[in-house]
Amino acid sequence: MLLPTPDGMSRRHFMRHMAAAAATIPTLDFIAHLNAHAATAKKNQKACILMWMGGGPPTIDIWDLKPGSKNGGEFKPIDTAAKGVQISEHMPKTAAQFDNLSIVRSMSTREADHGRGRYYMHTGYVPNPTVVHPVFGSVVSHELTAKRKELEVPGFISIGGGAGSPGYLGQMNAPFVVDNNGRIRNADMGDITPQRMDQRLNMLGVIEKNFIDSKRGELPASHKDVYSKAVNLMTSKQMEAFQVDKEDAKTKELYGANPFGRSLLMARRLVEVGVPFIEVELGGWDLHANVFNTLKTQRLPTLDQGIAALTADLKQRGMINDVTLVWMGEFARTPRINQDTGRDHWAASWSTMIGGGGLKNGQAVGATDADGIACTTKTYQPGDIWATVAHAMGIPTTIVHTSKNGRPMKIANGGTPIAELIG
Amino acid sequence: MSNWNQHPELVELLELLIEERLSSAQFAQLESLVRSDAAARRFYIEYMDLHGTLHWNTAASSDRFLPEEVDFTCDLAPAETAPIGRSRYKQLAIATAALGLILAVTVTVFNKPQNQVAKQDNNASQQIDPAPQKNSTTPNDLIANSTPSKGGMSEGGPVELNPSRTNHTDDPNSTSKNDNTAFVVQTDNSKPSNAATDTGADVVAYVNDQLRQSWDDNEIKPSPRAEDSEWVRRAYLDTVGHIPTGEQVKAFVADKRADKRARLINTLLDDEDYIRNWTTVWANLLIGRSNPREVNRVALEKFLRNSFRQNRGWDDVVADVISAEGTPEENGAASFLMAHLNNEAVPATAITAKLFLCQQMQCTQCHDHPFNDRRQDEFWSFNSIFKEVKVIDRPRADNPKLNERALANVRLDGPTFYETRNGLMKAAYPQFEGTRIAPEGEQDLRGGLAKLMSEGDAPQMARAFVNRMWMHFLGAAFTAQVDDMGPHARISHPQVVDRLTREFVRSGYDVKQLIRWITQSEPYQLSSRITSGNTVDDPATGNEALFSRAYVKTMTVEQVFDSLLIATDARELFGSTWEAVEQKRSEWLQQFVMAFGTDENDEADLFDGSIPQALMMMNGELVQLSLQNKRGTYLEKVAHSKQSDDAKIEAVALATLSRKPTPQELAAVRKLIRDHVGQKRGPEAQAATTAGLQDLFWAYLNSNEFILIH
Repeated sequence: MLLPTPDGMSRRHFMRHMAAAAATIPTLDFIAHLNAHAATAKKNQKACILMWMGGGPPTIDIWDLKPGSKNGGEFKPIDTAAKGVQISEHMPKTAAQFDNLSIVRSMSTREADHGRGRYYMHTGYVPNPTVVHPVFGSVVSHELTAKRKELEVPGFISIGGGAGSPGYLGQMNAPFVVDNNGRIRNADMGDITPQRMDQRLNMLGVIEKNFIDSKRGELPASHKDVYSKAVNLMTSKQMEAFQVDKEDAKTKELYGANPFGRSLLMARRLVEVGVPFIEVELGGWDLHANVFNTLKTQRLPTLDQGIAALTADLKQRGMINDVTLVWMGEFARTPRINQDTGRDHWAASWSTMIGGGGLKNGQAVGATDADGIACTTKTYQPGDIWATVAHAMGIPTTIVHTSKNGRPMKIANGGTPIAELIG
Repeated sequence: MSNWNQHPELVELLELLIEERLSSAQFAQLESLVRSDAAARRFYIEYMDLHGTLHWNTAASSDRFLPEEVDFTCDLAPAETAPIGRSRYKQLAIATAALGLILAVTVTVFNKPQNQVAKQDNNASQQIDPAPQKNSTTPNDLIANSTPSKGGMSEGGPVELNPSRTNHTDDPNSTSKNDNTAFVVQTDNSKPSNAATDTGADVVAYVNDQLRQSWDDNEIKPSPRAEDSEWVRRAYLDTVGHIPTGEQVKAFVADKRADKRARLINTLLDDEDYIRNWTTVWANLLIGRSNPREVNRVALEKFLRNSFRQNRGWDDVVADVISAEGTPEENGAASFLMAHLNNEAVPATAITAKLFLCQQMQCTQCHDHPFNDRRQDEFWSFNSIFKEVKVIDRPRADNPKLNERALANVRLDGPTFYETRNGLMKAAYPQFEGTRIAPEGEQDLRGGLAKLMSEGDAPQMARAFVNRMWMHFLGAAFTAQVDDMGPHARISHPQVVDRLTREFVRSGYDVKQLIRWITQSEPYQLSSRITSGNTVDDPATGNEALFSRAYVKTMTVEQVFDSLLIATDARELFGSTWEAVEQKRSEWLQQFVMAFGTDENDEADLFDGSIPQALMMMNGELVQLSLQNKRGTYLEKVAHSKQSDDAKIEAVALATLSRKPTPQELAAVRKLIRDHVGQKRGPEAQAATTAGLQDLFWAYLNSNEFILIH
């Protein structure tokens, strides 16, 4: 608990005190949380953990190897726990967990520029100058956060990454970006007592209301909403979920003593307090040069250990059917190996990984040709991945949001859950 | 490959061709064979495609072999490298010729129905024709032609593009070498800050007429004129990057002169912080905040400071940036290309187009743009200009045992190559907007580009800058996205853009003059309040901006830092020197920067109105320290002054929000102080009152009204 509780001032007292003032201070919306601290997180809440591979991972060296092709590269495929599914030899721990994981091998997306690809894969929509689409984490936050009254931390948390914009779903559904050390910067009020903070917030409420009432668009009110969430966070016991150090040594070792492992462990802790969407970033995939060496010695050992640990841990805790795992980057990399022994940007035929969530796992959906340069089956777009996630989380794919300029926007850009995975 | 055995004669001719042993008679034989037989044509294409791909894969692409084989930094070029370079170069020439033939054949025979593709290929083949002759240059010629690395900026100096103009920069070399002090002497162009109040009257009138017309056409009424206190705050933030002090607000409000707004802008344009503000803005645009690999931010900022201090023409500044040579230390402008030259100069190409031309070219890197007529070859032709420059390791002048990284030109007399989506290699020649650029004398390709970019009465480079500046001050650009003015992008007020662009060019790309026109225009005088007459005018909803009010903007992270120090007068707490405060600012803002680690060095700005920002403002060290009741902070000064409590409250309001407190605020803070004081008497009561003022200060700084530019 970050907030020292002074004598005679319980958290409940503090909250009620602030809530009493809420009638005149729209900044503070605590009514929903009055009884919150008594509630414990419900078991078996649905969640999604997105493993974001910033820079664009070479999936031809990880999930869809092409032995015998000129594009095949240095790595060999190995068998996995899923019958008939092979992955890279440098992913042995993950291979052992493959009864709970699947690959979609016929992703065909159209954006091979980092910024556009990041936007497209996160939102399901190609960038459009007149609309900012929400990233899917914001969509999940919008659909599920309000239903989880006991949740005091934001419903969309991004660990070690940027994660993107909530678009027309508003700042309330923006990703809360934290780094992987578990310390939330500036969440501690320092020397300021809760009573004093309350007085300050009261004063702030008067000033904010004056400016909101002067009619200057959405930003002033949005500012107030974000402050409410920030104050909420400062006073919440659920902040402990960020403190990975509280885990036992064995668990920490399982995930790996590196930022990615720590982030995944933090993600599991956040799922346990009811956070419905967590994004975890593992960067450094923009391998225009020296791809095999970098993969073999740096990226893949970290990735392998992390995915395997998370999958095994979720299974052991009985959470694997409630938590959907998604692994993707903004695009993948060229099958052809360039003159620097690297691979460049490629979006035409690549793989994403998906798992858990009660899906029909242990399979590879779709395929590419012998050189990996084209899909030979039905292709999938990010909307289909997100529709599959929505399906697994019990979010109806028929939901339509309205953009700021009044246009109807289908959830996941009207994508369809992947038939093979939802069974 | 199909039918290898069916065309023995063809195979033999092709082998001769790629081994550079084909006679002209045999060439004619090959041509007639390929032209007469469809199967032979197919085989020819596959064969040459394979050859081209293999050629590419064996590191023979033009931009790679040149810098490796041609040693332009010392005279001791190993003898054995020359023949390799030569043979590869010739192979390349042949591959080029062959590809030209492939394309010609493809156009005439296969692709007739597909008009667009045919047109494109046709262009490419025409470009390729002269290549074989040009490519006969020997490596020795290349060495002779390649410009030795020059210290600092191009020695020839930026090309004078517009002889009629009267401005600036006597010696561009000195900017990279000398300290700020070299530029204390003001040039003609930077002087007329006060004289120029009226010169743009007709420009401003034209802009106003156009905007009023568009308000009438859209049946909206503009918001009322902004109150002085609202306007002065905005003018300070937009021009010098921070809020005014309470005293400055009072002085401006008390000023009764009719032209006081134009006068204030002139004063601000001469302020040191004008230079600092625009240096920050452009350093962030050029290399981002996360200080990517190979840059020297301090030197870049020095270059920009000098440029804005002298009010150099924008065309000259751009020319220095895109044609920079040398190390980032000796030439501040070099950091831009040092940061973006990786990955075949693709990022440099895309970012140059985005920043200086407001055009999105990166998508056409892989394919023709689906929504406009930009084509893949256009991207790679632009790209080939940047393949002239490399980041090299060279011995340091002061200590040859150590290497330094520097930008150096390598002259490319042949084309560069790129791969189309269907795997064909195509040649690209240095071109900008359809005009071929060739090196001339001292002028390199990038110098040629800079010249072309600023040629004419209203070049895109000037339009782009007008769009950016308008966006900076008005809160919305003339296009939905400021850096996308491509053919498909609708421009809300084309006549305004056109007039401002022409006038800007005519002024000699005078940045300060452009700021005067924009800040004197009617839209900039308006309040940010939405009225019943202009509710529809809201670009945040995706509607086209009509500029019938000032759109609310969010302060940048630098503006917040600087404004906090102005409001709290706490600068000394963060360092005794200018550099120390600057250093503190740059460390502090790193918490809001997240680099994506991609080849384009792109990054996320986490100072985006989300929770971490709110936590920083509420609990962060910066705010806490600035609000201490000690060491000459503004709080300490106000609290210990002899004023009434109400006067103290007003002083805090003016220092933070540039206005007097509202009646509700007064009532709330009086109660707050009463609660703090309670039954206390004497010094204790005084301390309690100060605590109340401190809470008020905190609340004002944390408010939406503080962090939003309105």
